[in-house]
Amino acid sequence: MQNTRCTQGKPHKLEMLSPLLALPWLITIFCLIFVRCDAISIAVSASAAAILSAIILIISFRQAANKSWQIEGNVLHFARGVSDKRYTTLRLDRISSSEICDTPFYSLFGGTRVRLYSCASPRPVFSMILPKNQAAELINLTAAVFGTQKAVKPRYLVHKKYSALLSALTSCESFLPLFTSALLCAFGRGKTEMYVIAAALWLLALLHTILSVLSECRMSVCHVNCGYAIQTGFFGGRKIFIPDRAIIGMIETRSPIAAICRAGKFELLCAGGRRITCINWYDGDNSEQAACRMIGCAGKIFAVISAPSALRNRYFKQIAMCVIFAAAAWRVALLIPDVFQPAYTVGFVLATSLLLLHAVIGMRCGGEFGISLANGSVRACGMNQIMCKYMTLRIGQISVIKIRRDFADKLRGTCTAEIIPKGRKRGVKCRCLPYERFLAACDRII
Amino acid sequence: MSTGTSGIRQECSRRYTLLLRIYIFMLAFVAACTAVVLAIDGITLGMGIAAAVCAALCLTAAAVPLCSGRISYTRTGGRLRIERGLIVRKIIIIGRDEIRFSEISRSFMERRFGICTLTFVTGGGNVRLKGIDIADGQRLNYLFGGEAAE
Repeated sequence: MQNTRCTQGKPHKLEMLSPLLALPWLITIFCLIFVRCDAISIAVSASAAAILSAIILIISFRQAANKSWQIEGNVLHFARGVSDKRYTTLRLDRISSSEICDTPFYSLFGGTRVRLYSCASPRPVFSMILPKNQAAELINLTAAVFGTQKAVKPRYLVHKKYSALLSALTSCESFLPLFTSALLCAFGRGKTEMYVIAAALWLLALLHTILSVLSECRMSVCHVNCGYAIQTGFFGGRKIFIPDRAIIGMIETRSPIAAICRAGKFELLCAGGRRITCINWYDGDNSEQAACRMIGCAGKIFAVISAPSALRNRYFKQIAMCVIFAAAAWRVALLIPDVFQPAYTVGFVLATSLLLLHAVIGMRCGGEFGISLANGSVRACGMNQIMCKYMTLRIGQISVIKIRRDFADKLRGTCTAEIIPKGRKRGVKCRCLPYERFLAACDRII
Repeated sequence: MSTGTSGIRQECSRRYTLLLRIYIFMLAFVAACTAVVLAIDGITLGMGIAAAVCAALCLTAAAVPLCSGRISYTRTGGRLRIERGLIVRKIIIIGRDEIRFSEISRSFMERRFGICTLTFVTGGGNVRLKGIDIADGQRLNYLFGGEAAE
């Protein structure tokens, strides 16, 4: 029996004001580029900035005025566009996830941003700032297609007592600002502006650490009757709902520090390719069972395809190559002119340390890498650069398997396989897989 | 999987042909003006090239009905079959169940001429149908992307 209720609406006034947030930056950049000391240049720059701002305002007002949405039965129609008008029709049962974004700025004006994602792409199909009552009605109507949204007790534990600490530690892994500031202090000795930039980068890293710790404390995941409801964001203002049928798998990512602590970040993989962080710092020892439960597959593992000894040998050889490379680069450094020494030193230290880190993490976690098959699911574990990735997918959700064999693989009888899920362009790379066994298992996997 | 053409084959709107001709004549006008300016400046080679481009564009405008007449669509049950191409013929078949959502877009000139572009977004990519009447576009949108598609 079809739902014949009809609901429609227009965006909130904030929709036309949001480009205003970019205006001060545009004007500042414009003035910095073009302003000079004389009055005429200042007047010309100010006039140009005013004209540009007026054009942006007019376009944003027209765009907001032309936006509208309407639900007829189980179909959502929405219109937008100024010169190129677009009318989109989306069936509610084709929505893979819905999101409400409720920041303090929006709440101040009584607005909420609603985003709807389809199974076609990871970008939102529908994104609009709506009044709170319209947003609530739209989300209720879309959720009515999925089932009731009554929340139940969280089913999966999150190690909250460790999560804040791990958030703080791994924020340091965005060590680029810290590393860059250390280099600036080392090479910019005596120059005040270098110290100022270094201090600004340290403050940025500290702010990022504090915000990520506070966001971590606000994250919650609930399994409701027909899907997952995730609340996240520092102010708790982002609520995401994903129906069970739209979940195709789970990806667990472990950064270097997290890999050592054996904890990981879980991301739900939705139809269309969207990845949604649902749990940070889940206990890595039980991650396989937890991932299978979350995607609705609870089958026992009946096959494991891996070659841990070949993998260990590979990484051991990589460490040896790093040592040889470092020695050779040190000898070459004596021949480099003095003016290029700092850049050369930074480059070779970065390259060697990344290769060593890759090899050390591989040696530490290589015992878990490979492919395991269970009833209803496939789990592929490998390493991309320095991040360990563990991907659990429902059977039938793999779009492409890429197999590569170099000369060493042919001697060993192994191969490197990249498992790519539907909706994504990149997947998980599993190295040193037994070639014949993997080929035989491909029919079951894909 | 049956892909027979038991439905009625429909072509794109004649106004789309007229719109394409207007675009091409605008480009030809620009090329002609360039040829005149170069002739006044005495640049013979440039004038010749611009004149040749103008002539080629005029020939293209005359041949537009051949191209636009080869764009057609046929609805057969739950599938839409789109055919286009003059020298290399392309046939696209979309099932109703594979369509994630659909979109009608109308640029400024398309609104003046009463035509639209219909885009079906599927799991395998986007399929565009250009130059159809707005009423036909809305009907296809209703049949394949909207309520009737359930």
